[in-house]
Amino acid sequence: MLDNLQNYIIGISLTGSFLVLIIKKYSKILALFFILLGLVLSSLLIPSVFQNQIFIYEKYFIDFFSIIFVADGLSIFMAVVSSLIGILILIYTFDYLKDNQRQNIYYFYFTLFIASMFGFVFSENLLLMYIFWEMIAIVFWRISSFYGNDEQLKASDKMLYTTFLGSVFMLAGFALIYSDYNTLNVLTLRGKEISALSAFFIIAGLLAKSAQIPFYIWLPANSKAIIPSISLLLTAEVGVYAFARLFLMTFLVSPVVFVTIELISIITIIVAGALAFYESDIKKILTYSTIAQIGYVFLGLSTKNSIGFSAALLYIIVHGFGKAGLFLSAGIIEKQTGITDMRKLGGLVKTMPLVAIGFSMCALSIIGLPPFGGFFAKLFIIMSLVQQGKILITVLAIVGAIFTLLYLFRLYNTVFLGKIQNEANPGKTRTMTFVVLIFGVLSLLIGLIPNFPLSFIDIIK
Amino acid sequence: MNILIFLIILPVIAGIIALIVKKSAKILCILTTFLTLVLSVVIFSRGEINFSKQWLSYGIDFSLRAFPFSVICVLFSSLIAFLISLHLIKKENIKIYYFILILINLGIVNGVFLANNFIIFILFWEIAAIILYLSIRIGGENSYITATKSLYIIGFSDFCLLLGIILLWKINGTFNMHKISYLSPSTFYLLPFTLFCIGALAKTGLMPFHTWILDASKDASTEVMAYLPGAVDKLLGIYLLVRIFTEFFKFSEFNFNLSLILMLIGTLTIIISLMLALVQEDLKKTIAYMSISGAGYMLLGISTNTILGIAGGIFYMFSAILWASCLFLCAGNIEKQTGTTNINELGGLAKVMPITFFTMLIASLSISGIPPFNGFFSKWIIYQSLIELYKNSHSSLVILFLIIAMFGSALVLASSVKIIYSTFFGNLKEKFTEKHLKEIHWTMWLPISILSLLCIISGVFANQITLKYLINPSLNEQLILSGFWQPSTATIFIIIGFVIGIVIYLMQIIKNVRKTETYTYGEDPEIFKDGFPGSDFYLSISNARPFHSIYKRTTNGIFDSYNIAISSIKFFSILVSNFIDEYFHHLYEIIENITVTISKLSSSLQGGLLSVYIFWSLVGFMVLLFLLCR
Repeated sequence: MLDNLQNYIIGISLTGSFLVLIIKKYSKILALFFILLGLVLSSLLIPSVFQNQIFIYEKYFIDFFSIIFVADGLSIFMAVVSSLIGILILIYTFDYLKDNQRQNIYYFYFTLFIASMFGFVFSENLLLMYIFWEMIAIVFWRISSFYGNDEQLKASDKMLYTTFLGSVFMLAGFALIYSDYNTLNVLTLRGKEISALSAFFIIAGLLAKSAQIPFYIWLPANSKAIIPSISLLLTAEVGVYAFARLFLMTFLVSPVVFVTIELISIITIIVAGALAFYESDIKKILTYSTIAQIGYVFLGLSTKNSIGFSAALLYIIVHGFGKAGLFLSAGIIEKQTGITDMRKLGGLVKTMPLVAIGFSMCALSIIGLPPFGGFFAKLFIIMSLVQQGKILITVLAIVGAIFTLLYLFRLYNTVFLGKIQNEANPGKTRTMTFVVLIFGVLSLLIGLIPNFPLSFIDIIK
Repeated sequence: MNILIFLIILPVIAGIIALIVKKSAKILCILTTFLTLVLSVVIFSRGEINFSKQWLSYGIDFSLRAFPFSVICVLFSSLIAFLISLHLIKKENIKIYYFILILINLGIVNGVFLANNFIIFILFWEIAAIILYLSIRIGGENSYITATKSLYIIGFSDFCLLLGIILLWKINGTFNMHKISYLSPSTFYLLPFTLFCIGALAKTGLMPFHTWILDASKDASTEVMAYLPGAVDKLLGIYLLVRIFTEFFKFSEFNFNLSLILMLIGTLTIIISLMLALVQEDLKKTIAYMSISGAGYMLLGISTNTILGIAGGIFYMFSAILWASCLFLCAGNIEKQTGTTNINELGGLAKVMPITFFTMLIASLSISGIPPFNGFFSKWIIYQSLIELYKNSHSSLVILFLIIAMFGSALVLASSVKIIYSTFFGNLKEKFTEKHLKEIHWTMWLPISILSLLCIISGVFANQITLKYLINPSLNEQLILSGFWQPSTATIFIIIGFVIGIVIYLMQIIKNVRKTETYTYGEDPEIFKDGFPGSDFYLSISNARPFHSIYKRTTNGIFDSYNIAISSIKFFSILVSNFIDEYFHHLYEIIENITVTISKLSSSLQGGLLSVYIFWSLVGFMVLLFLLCR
């Protein structure tokens, strides 16, 4: 039964998303059902990871294109994490979009988005990966322009242009690999050395997707509405997964590539941290923070040692939970007050105490303070850097962490504490608050029992 | 289950239960803190206990170790927690969160002291910072600003400490705190040493990280001040500092200049905070400055890196915790009864609050280093260590530090005379005479009485009790004190002197008592008609030429390192936003423009005009012809 479950996961969620579109009446339940099914099915694969079992499904088409879906530790990990975050976000949006006429379209996009995430993480052919990669970009483009005002449309176009620019480079890189080895199968390419040029081409695509330094412009632009902001969190983590998959588990590349990634990510951490400290719009602060935290994941992966790898994967979970919680609380604040400029807000802890608790838990986790999960993630990142003997970069990473402390607590203070500036209009946001609290509790749980995710991550290596 | 785990888990679980069942919080707090106190005494009698359990990979084990110094620290933190909760139990309008935070904080702090793995240590250490933030925030409407300031400062230092720990891990290859191999001076140790010191200094509240304590004294409640910055944070910071010098960075050829730098920081802290303490008009703020200066003495002693100095620092820490908590709690009592801590509005309270008066007097005499109290003996050891250090190093700076520290002692006395005089002597203010002030409830004076009694005992019986049971086991070494000072003998002499004086007074041997006008320092006697306000005591200093402008600027916060740091970070972020961010936006626009231009060009080429197409076809044809016929 477990054999090649990954095919069913992809197939079911893809067809499911179209069912969501067709059967308008039950779109909510169907979307919930299919993403939940994806989560359950991919969790069913977890035991096989502990038994060191890998499922490979291959169907040959033409010489360079074959459909290969592989369920190994890394892909199952990504599938479980992203569908878990996805399902909580979906529950939240039920409440958020309650009065929207076009909400079934959004559920369709979102299910398709998760489906293409599944497709991307399980596929092991470079061309197939590219197809799902672009699918993610296009679906996200539609999600981003869901609230179709002009500015938002422009921003989503910006996102599509930038990531497409990146992925064109990536495709060129794949082509160079094909010309060297006559195959695009990731499994046969394992352990092969690729030229620095093709590596840099691929990295351009990854950086564009993960919004790292030369390409980060699109992400803050997309943070006008909360709906895309939530999904861009997952989008950004896709790039990290691709980096881990291609450069750590597949190709052999020259160390120059890793040094470049390291430099880019440390610059991103500092620059995005400073920008987040400068901004005063809640969602912009959170998006800059996302860019900076993704930088930490890249930093961990770029060390190439085992601590760095577990640190990066732990960081993906912790940051996913924490940042989702922050974005969702920003959404509640927007829903209740209609304002996202933090200078015009204040004293919200009196009207929404539970959101404040959830927000502070997630913020503490992102900052990296114990007993929250972020502490261990940041600790391992710093350990891996020190183990490589990169003292200067470590110091800068610590500076980035201090930036995080500064801007997130400034945000918390001005929004939740102090004088009440705007009367919140008490709408019914019980489900939304509940989801935020769940993310907070999950962040706490990872901090209290870090062995649980870490033992899984240790097997993936 | 190991007995050590109970010390950590018991208070934390009690705190969680109190959070759920709020009614039980008070009684639970008293019981648990008392139980922890008893437990720590039991562990103290047992000697060294080890506990280790595999937890995470990379050598992160959950290992605990109880050795004399750490258990004594646990003992003190439990004692203070017990006394504070006793103090709070009958206080009206008290928030239940105090008790919960006291409980959880006790467990966490015990975790810091008992940890034998650096990661466990920093884990508990950083949780303590979050609890500090929450505790200060209880204070009132605007206390969150101070709470955030302290979280920023402590958080910064915690990240530094974390980096230091990991650098030490890189050098030593282990996270085990006990197995740290002594470094040779040739290895790379300056950066980790500095980072460790930043962590310890900020927690203790030494310059330049001291400003959060001052702000907290304004915004946080006195109980929080007595518990956290007054006692527990000093314990934590000095515990780390002592371990830095005695274990983590102990090497034979320790760089003497590092010692000098730290001693300089200590001396500056002493002199600056005491100069400022002189001119404060708020009771709590004066006490806060005095407690910061105490931290300066501890640093001065420990950073001599001699066994005598470290012993003096530890002794001073234990004494300072007793008197600082005592003073803050006394201030709390006064605030509760009168509703103010401004010394100009107080006066003449000695009659109505005799117990508070006596305890505060003893604590102030102790802090000023009057024999035979504990303050004198601990300062005496620190001075000795400085003299010894001078003998060995012949650095004249050491003597300068010694002189400043001794001068600081006089300044402490001056500040305590000011607060004692202005709160307890003189005439009771009119608004209080009507209110019928009386002594506070016994649950509130019992803790301060115990604290002041301990001040006396640990001073008078210093050789018999303090050195024998607290200091020598902590250092694992026998102290050799030079000079002749036997506090108990001296006390007997002092008592005999008092008795003789009283006898003479009672027998009225001296018949002719000389009576004169009160000496008014040459000032007009008219201005003293309404009593002499305590805030005017040292006006001549604060109005003196170089000091006046310095005092004024300090009040405006110009010398606050926190403000400087925050504004420079703001400046940096503005720079980044205006240059780097703008640059990338331009880059994007340039690429966008190029794309638009190319597509416009190609679309203009395909305008649907037959003549254009024919022209291009002909050109292409010609090129082809040229290539083929070449």
